[in-house]
Amino acid sequence: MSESARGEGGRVWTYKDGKPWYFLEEMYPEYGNLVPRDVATRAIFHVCVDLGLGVDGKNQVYLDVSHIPTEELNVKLGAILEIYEKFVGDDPRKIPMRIFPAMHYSMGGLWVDIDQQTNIPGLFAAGEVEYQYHGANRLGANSLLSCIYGGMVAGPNAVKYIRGLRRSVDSLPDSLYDQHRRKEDENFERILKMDGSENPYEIHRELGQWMTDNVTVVRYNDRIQKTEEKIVELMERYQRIGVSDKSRIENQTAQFTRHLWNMLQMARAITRGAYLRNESRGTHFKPDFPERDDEHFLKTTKATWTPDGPKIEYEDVDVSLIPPRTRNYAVAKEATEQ
Amino acid sequence: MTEVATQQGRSTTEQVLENGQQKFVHLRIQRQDGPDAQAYMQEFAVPYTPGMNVISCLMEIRTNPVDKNGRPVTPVVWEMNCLEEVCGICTMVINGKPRQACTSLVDKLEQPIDIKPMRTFPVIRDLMVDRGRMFDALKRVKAWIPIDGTYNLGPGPRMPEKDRQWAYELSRCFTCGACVEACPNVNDRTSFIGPFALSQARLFNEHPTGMMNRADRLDALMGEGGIHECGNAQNCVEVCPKGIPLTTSIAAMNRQVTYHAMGAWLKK
Repeated sequence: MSESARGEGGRVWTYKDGKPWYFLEEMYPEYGNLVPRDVATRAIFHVCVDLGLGVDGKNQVYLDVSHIPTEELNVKLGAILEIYEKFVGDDPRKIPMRIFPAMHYSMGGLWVDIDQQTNIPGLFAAGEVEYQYHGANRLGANSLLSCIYGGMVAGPNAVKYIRGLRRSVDSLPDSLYDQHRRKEDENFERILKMDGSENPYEIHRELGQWMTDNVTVVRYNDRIQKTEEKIVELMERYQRIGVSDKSRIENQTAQFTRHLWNMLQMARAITRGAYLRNESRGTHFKPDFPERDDEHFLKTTKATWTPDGPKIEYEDVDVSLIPPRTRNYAVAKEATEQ
Repeated sequence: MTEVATQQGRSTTEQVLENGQQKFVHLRIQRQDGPDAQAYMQEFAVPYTPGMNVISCLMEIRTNPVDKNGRPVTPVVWEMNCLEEVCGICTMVINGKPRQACTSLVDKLEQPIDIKPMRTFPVIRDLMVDRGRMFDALKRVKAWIPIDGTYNLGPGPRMPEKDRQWAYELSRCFTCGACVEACPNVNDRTSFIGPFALSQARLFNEHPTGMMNRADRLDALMGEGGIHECGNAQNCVEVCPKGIPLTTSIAAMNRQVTYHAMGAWLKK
C-alpha cells in the first residue's frame, strides 16, 4: 500500500480496550496521521511489538480510508485501492486495510560530487542510484526529484567532461578492453562451473531475513554485530554454491549468483555503517542511543570497498542554509524553532 | 511505489499442515530450453503457505529445483519486477487465461495450476517471452508527447478534469501483452499491432499537447497492421487486468480514422 493513502486522509488505528485507538493522532496531535514515515513506522512497531495490540494479535494495524467518499477515493487512489482489493479480497472503500511497514527504498547510494560525478572519473550517476537528497529519512516524491535534478546536472557535466578530455576511448589500445572482457568472461565461466551444495536463492533468503530482523526499524549493536558475522558466514557459503543451470540462454541462476556477491558486499557495508553510528537519526533508530548526536554524527557515512571488508569514513553535512532543529512531531513546528 | 506491505504475498517459512500433513500446491509448467527448442511439460509440487501467488510458487521451485517426483531439474525461467501488477513483465497464460503471475493467488486457482508462456510472442526460454513487438507498435502510433527540447516551452494547455478522468483509465495500460495474447487477429498471418496500441493512440490524441501529432497517429492506424485488422472478437476487453475499455477505444479510433480518411479524400 502506498503512503499516498495517508496523504489523502487515511487514518491509522487498532483496537484498545475494545475501542478503535487512533494512536498516531493521540501521540502526535499536531501532525496526526501525517507524521513522517519513520515516526509512523516506529509507532506501529511499538503498538504491535511492545504493546501486543496488533489487529488479531498479528503484526498489523488498520489503515482506514472508509470515511472518505467512494467517488473521491476512486479518483485519487483508485489504482492502489484496486490492487489491495485484488490481493486481499476486501474492499478498502468499505473495510479498513490491514498494513504493516515494509522497506522499499535505500536512502544510500553511490557517492557523487556536486557535478554528479562518482569517484571514478567520467562515471556519472543520477537518480535513486546515488546518495544525495535523503539524509537519514526518505521524503515523499524524492525519487522523482532525484531523477529530474540529478539528470539535469549530470547530463551537461558529462558533456563538459568529454570536451575536457585529452584522450578518448578510441585512442586506448584494444588490448585494454580485451583484458577486462576476458576477466568478466572468466568470472562468468567460473560461476557456471560452481558445483557445491549451497543454493544461491537460499543464501539470499537468509541474508534478507537477517537484515530485516536486525538492521531495519530497530537496531541493537549486539544483533548488528551478529548480523555482520552471519554475512561473513554467508560469504563463505557463497563459495560452495552449486549452479544447477548450465545453460547459456537466459541463465537466471548464474546471473543471480553474480549479483548475490554484490548484495553480500552491500549488506556488509550497511551493517558496518549502522554499527558505528551510535545515535538515533531518522530511520536509524537505536534504543540504546535514543538521541540524535549532531556533534559526532551530523555526517554522511561513506563506505569504501577493501578486501578485508568495508572501510567507513564520514563527511560533514552542509547545514549552512538551514540550521538543524529538534524533530518533535508531538508539538507544532513553531515550538521546535525556539 | 509500495511503501507499506500487506500481509499477503510474503515468502515465509511458515508451513501449513492439513491433518498433520504438509499441504502442497500442484503446478504443470510448460518449459522450453531455448527459442528454437521443443516445448515440454513438467509437474511440480511446492509446499503451500498462506497468501501464496504464482510468483512465490516459482520462487519455491528455484530455491529447491526438483520436479514432482523429487528429480533435479533446472529452475524455471520467468521474469518479474514490481510484484504489484504495474510492470507487466510477469504476464503468462495461467489456467488458460493470460494474466499476471503476481496477482494470480493460489487460493483462487484450480489445481493443478497450468502455466504456459504467451505464445503470441517469441518464447525466449520457459515462461520468458519477447514483447518487443508491442514497443514497436507504440513507436508506430507515436504513443508519447513530443515536447523535449533545449529550452523551456512554458506551461502547456490544460485538460478538463472530466476528460482527464477517463484518459487516466487508458493511461493505466502497462503493455503487459494480455490483450495481444487473447486477440485472435494477432497471429502469423496478420500484422495487426494489437488492441492496446489503438487505445494508446486514443489516449495521446486526446491529450491537449499530444493532439498536435494526431494526424501522424491516424495515418499509422490506416497503414500496415492498423485498425482494419481488428475483427471485433472483443477478447481484449475481457482479459485486460486493468479493465481498460479497449473496445470503446477501438470504436472511438474507428470514428477518428474514418473522418481523417474522408477529410484527406475531400482535400484531394
